[in-house]
Amino acid sequence: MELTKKINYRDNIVSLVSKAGVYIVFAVLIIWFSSANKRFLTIDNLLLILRQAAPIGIAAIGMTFVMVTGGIDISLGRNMFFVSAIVSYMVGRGGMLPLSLFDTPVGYLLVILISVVLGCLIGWINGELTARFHILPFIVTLSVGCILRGIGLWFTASATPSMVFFSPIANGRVFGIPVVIILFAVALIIFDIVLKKTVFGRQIMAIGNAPNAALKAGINVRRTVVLTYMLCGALAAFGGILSAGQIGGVALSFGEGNEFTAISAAVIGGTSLFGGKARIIPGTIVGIVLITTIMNGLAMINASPYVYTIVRGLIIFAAVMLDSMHFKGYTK
Amino acid sequence: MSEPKVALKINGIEKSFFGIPVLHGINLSLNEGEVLGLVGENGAGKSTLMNVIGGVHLKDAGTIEVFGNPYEPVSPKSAMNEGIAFIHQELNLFSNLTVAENMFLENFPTGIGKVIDYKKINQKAQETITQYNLPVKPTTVVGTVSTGICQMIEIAKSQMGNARIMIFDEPTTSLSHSEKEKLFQTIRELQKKRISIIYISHILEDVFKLCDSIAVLRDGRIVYDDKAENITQEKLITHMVGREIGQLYPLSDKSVGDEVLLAANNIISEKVKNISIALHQSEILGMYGLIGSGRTEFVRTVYGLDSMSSGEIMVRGEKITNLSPETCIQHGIAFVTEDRHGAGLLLSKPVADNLSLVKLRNILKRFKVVDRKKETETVKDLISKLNIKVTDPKAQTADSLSGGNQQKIVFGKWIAVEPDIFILDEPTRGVDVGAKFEIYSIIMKMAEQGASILMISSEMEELMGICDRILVIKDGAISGELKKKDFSQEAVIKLAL
Amino acid sequence: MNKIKEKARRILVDTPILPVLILYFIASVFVVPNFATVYNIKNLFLQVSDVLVVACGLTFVVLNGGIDFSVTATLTLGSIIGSYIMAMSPIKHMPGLSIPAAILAMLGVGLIIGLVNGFAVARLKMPSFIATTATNLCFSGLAVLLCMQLTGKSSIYGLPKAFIILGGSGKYFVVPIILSALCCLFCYLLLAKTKFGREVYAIGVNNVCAEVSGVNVKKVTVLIMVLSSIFAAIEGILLTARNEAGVSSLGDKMFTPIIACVIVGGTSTSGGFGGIRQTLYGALFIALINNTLNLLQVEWNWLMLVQGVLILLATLAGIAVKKSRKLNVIGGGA
Repeated sequence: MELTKKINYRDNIVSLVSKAGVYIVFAVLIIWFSSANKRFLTIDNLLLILRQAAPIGIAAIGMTFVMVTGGIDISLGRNMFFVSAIVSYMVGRGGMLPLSLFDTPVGYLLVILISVVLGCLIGWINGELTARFHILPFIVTLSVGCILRGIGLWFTASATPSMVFFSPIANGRVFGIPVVIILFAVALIIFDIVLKKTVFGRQIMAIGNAPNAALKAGINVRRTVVLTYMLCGALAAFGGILSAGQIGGVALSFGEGNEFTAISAAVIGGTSLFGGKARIIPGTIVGIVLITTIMNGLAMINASPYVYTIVRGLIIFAAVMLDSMHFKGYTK
Repeated sequence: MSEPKVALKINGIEKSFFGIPVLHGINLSLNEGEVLGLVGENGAGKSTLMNVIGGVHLKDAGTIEVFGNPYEPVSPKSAMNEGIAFIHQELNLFSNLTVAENMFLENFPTGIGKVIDYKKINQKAQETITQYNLPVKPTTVVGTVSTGICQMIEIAKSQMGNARIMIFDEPTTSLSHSEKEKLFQTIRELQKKRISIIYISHILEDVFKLCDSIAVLRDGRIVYDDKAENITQEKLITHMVGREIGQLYPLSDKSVGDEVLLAANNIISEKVKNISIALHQSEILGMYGLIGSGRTEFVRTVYGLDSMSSGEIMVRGEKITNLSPETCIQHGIAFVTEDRHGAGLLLSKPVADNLSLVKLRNILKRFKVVDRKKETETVKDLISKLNIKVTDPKAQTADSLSGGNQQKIVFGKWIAVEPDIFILDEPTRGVDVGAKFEIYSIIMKMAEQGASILMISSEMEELMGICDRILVIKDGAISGELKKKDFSQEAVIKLAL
Repeated sequence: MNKIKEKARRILVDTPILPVLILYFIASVFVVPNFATVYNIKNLFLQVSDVLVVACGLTFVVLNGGIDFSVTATLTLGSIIGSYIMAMSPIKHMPGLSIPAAILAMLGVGLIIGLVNGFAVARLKMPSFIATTATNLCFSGLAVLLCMQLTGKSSIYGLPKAFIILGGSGKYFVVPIILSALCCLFCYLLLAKTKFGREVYAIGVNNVCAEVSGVNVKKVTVLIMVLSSIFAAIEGILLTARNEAGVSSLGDKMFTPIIACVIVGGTSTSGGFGGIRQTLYGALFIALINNTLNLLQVEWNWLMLVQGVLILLATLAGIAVKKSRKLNVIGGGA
């Protein structure tokens, strides 16, 4: 039973604002940034924005899947840190993967495989703890995040191990197009189909809508929810090594707070924190590109680096505020 | 004509939870094309039995046969495979998926990489929609259609799965009158197609109207099972409660006072179009209306739970400003909601905490510190006054008590502050026949002591049994008022439709 | 005999952390070098006071079924603004005026952030974990920005001597311990004895029932968020005095130990169960672990891991206890 019921037209206004609002904000920002700095609207800069958006964008796709079932994964940023730390350790200090491997594709494939497997494992732990024991997902993933960070820091020895070996993929280009952008585009298309057209996608939508009814409809809810966390873990790990490869190293604060960028991106794109509602194309892509554009624009207008945090906070607040207001209308 | 085939045969089903037996050797048989009414008080074991058949709970002993073949339910899927379909009280459709997706959710036809074959499901869904004459398209999102249509979609869906046995569990609770008629018509059509049906309901009139035979479940045993024409409603009730009920409603010689305790003037809100009522001292005012008529919305607005566009609430001639549950309580209004678990109780908290929840505001010492001694006294007093069966109210949680006792706690927490206006929304819903009389007695006693009562109910008989006056609500407005001498089912229904 | 058994059972159900805490303490006395010294025990209690106040405030939020990630931002921003008033503002040479002004300003920061959080959660119906994450980012960013704009450095030094007493330097070590104990006692009384406390529990269990029963859910929720922020601000005062500086990274690594105190203590994250007593034991336990691991020279990253594991274990234990309690009731009813 709900406590408050609102008048219809208000919901309509809210839904209109939350649908078109993003594009309006987008347009206004682009006009503002491009008038403040001529370099903003150049091909190079736009490509830069997309390149920066791609790794967290890939992770945000995973977050979208978790959010569809009504879950959340705030270990995402620390997952990125943990996996990159281990990979860089294996190549560097640990000496398990010799640099010569990277003369052929074998090395890259191996690194990607290791990351994805580790990411799946993290997701499996998150998922099992959430779905089997019914612990609030943000408590589970908060604690798992702490554990990942603790172990990850040991692997980096609290220094900044190099990830330069992964640069050919993270910073490379094919036919002049950055590889990460291609990877991002492929991931978007694949997972948009997974969400909209496959049995798994429809089942997680059903679970997010009414978990008990989903159980009665014969859906293996626990297994499906665990799968979403595994998918999120794998995509986050993959996004993590791409991001670390772009930067060239795993800094002490690498990954911190990325989960909230991913959540904001998903929510701006029309995915609900309350489950049962998701959009990857154009949703998540619009969300992540908008956020990256704002960060890029802030750099262009020479804003103080300390303003970034505040702006990120404001973006999350605004996005979730609209989602929450919309939610009331949705459940009525 | 040959002997009818047996569709479902249940032999000696036993089931216990944590060592407490719930079903004791249930035997039941359902013929092909038969509609069997299953009735019983709450807690009699109906839902457990259905859950066993549906594969939600595993049985401890006994066998089930479907058309002569042994059937071992292990999961909801096994029921589906056997052609057994459930239509539950709360619908199992997903509001964010399309009609076609909902119809095929358990069994999507897929192509490469588990990608759903949308062309196929939309086409098949359209065939079914046409067959059942539903006002939807395969691509309509279910969240946008009414409850009645959703139920029809569910029935249609079960027929697509070739269900041969259908189990309806309280299907009419959230349907409007016309939707209910359409449901009954559909059930009769299903029957013509030789589909066997188990119909579970609390509304005995519906059961008599619809069913060929009736089985009564009491305390986990089948105590009666025969053709419907061989039994009367009174006899059926006797079987359900296991004893003769001398009278259904308590008698009283109270008289309605002249003073208006509660007046709601020209209330307008989202679903309420200008309703005014005047509730007198010692009066029990009934409010009848079909689902969706706006009756619940009206009392929620009066109590300050929903926002009001215009209108005013007067208590003893004084207008309540700042309308909210808090101010209503300060003015002596109590509100018993229809949803006992969702809105009435702190289920996982001790009985004492529940009973003193409203009273807290009146037993404060300095710095708003709760007076423990007075609290204990209040709780003790209420438990003896209402005869609540609890041994240690500070340790036993509310969810460890039976439904009837839980409802008494809900009443108790209000009686603690001695309000003189009670708003009751379906006070006997989900309470078994035996406990109902006790609730009526509590209501009657409160009225005798001078309180006025506004009572919403879907059960016409109950309203006619204890009310002094009945208001009928239709489309958010009062469509008529009946004095005690004019009470009749026909009159009420006429006003409600 | 039965009474003792019943008491032991109660302790296990209500505060399962207590026996663990006692055993761990006894073991530490024998196993951990330099643990059982006056100096270290004093240190231990100071470490408890570092988290206890803010954890007590946060307990209200967790009981209500929510969380407040912005407590660390609150204590950091308070620290910067308070330090600015005491060390850089025009009234810095008048400690009699600047200290009370600074303390008031820090509490004011708590009040404002609490109101923003309360508005977001109660009025806008935003989930608390995301709303307070947003405010956390905003206000911690603001703290760093302010500090850099004002000083060009990441800390503000030069606080008056009288203020530093609050941090417990030298012979004044009991001051912060007593202050935090008083805050804890206040929270305990507020939660266990008053109508407000009862309403917090009621909302945590079933907010619809609470509202129908006349609890002003919105008001109580706002108050809860304000309480959490105010107590974070008070902790900010103690920590600023302890560090003898306003530090813009003060809260950076603090959230995990704070939430660990609440949850490891036994307050349930699904709302409605637990309390200040639990948080006190939790704070003692977390401080004890930090202290002993420090003495054993374990690196801080492992500390983080331990806290993560403890939160998970405590939550799982809570679920097990809840389940056994339910079984008991059903079994007893037969």
